Amino acid sequence: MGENPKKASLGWSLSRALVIAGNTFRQASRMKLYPTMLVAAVALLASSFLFRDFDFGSSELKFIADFGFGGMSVFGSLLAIVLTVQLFLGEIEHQTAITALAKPIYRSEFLIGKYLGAVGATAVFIFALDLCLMLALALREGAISSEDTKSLVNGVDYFGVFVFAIAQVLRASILCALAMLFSSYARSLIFAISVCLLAFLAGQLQPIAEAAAANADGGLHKAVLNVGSFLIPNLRIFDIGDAVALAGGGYVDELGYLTVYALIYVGAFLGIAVFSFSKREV
Amino acid sequence: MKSRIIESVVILGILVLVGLVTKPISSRASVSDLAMAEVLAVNVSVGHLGQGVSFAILGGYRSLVANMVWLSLNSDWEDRDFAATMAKIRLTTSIDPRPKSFWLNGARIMASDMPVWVVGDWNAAQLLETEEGAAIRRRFAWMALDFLEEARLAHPDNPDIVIEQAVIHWRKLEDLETSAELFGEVVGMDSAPFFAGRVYAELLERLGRLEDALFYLESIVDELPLEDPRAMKPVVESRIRKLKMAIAERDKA
Repeated sequence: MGENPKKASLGWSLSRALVIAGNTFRQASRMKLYPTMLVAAVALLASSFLFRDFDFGSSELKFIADFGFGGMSVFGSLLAIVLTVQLFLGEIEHQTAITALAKPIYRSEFLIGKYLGAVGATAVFIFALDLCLMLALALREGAISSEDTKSLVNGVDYFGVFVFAIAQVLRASILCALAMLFSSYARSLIFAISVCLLAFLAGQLQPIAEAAAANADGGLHKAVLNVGSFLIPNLRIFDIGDAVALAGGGYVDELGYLTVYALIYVGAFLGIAVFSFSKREV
Repeated sequence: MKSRIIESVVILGILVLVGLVTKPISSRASVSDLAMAEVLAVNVSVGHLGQGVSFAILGGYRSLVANMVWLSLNSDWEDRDFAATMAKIRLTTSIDPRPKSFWLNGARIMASDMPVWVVGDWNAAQLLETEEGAAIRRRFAWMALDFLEEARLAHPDNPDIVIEQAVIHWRKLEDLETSAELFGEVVGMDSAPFFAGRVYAELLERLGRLEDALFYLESIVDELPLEDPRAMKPVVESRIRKLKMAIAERDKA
């Protein structure tokens, strides 16, 4: 199925993409996966109170914060991948996308609408977890400060915890765009999700490839490592939990850089995805 | 087919270009200090690649996993199982290199406990009295020092790590010169504890460098807060007096 001839008279419209985004968001919130992952992540955060006796390395508040950060980064990333692939490729696989694409709408509008809907749903998930984390930290901070003021060396920077959530949304926006890119080529959900998960792992470990490239002897080996490290976004730079939550201050600039980084990758991935999807038989 | 190959090459080219454009942001030290420190630590201990590194994907959950590994290490420590204890110390610090207590306690296990495991509790005195014992003590001390070198990559400018190195040089290797050098490094750090200065002066004194010790104590005594008991200002003042007397006596002799 090619582009609809009626579209020739239409200009590209963000509002049509936003309508699709709204529908996609509603579709996402109705999926069983969404509340299941939210409950699992909140339950894990709550379990940090249970596990705090097994903390040997850091302060209690940092331990709880780590749990929340882990939930936001791991569950947020997994949700971003699975949700995007299901909402985009799932529609193509089940041929429900044909109904939408038969209307006077560009494929790029459809793709970007789906992308924005998936990012929105993931962002709501991350901010909900962030709220739970702030609540957990406030509860424990209150209890600790009333028990013993000496142990509360560094208080929690709640604005920093919020900044961390924004950084995770930025990471999720890259992963959603990556999922869009793979989904625009892939023929099966399992394949697209698997490749995205591998890309996520590679992105998390990307600094290792960079360090290996820097330490390589030179020649072909170094060149291959360099190209490999440039192909994948460095997702570790969004792990700014230690810097923002308990140290405090100086993170607004960092957030600016992370936003620019995410926007460049989202633009590139979505551009390629639009190109690929425009040629795809639906 | 040909167009597909060209398309793939163009896409790869775009991705590499994006990687190049974003490189200045991703390599900004302030954004990824910790990640880079971990990478450096991993590079030093390439043998551990694939253990802790893969836990990087866990994000904040790494601290829980590291704590669990440390907990299970305790039973290996009780069983005096060298291989398992060493492997788990390494695994803990490569999963989560952030808590300095893992590094410090790991180094203490290597430098203080393991030599005793070799000779046995009843023969622990041999570590100090015999040549063979001293060789065992030194071997494990160097193991701990190498481990702490890795810790310094993950915790640059942390005085506790350097103090631990200095103490091992002093107590396990009987190398006062290097120990004093390291304490000298510690006292130059912003977050150096007060006691480090007193130990530094003590080591200089033991090395016979009385003037250096006196000069150092005189340089810090005015800045020590009288109201903070950790600063022990009266003790430092009394040491200055004793050092002056010792120098005078030596010169007279």
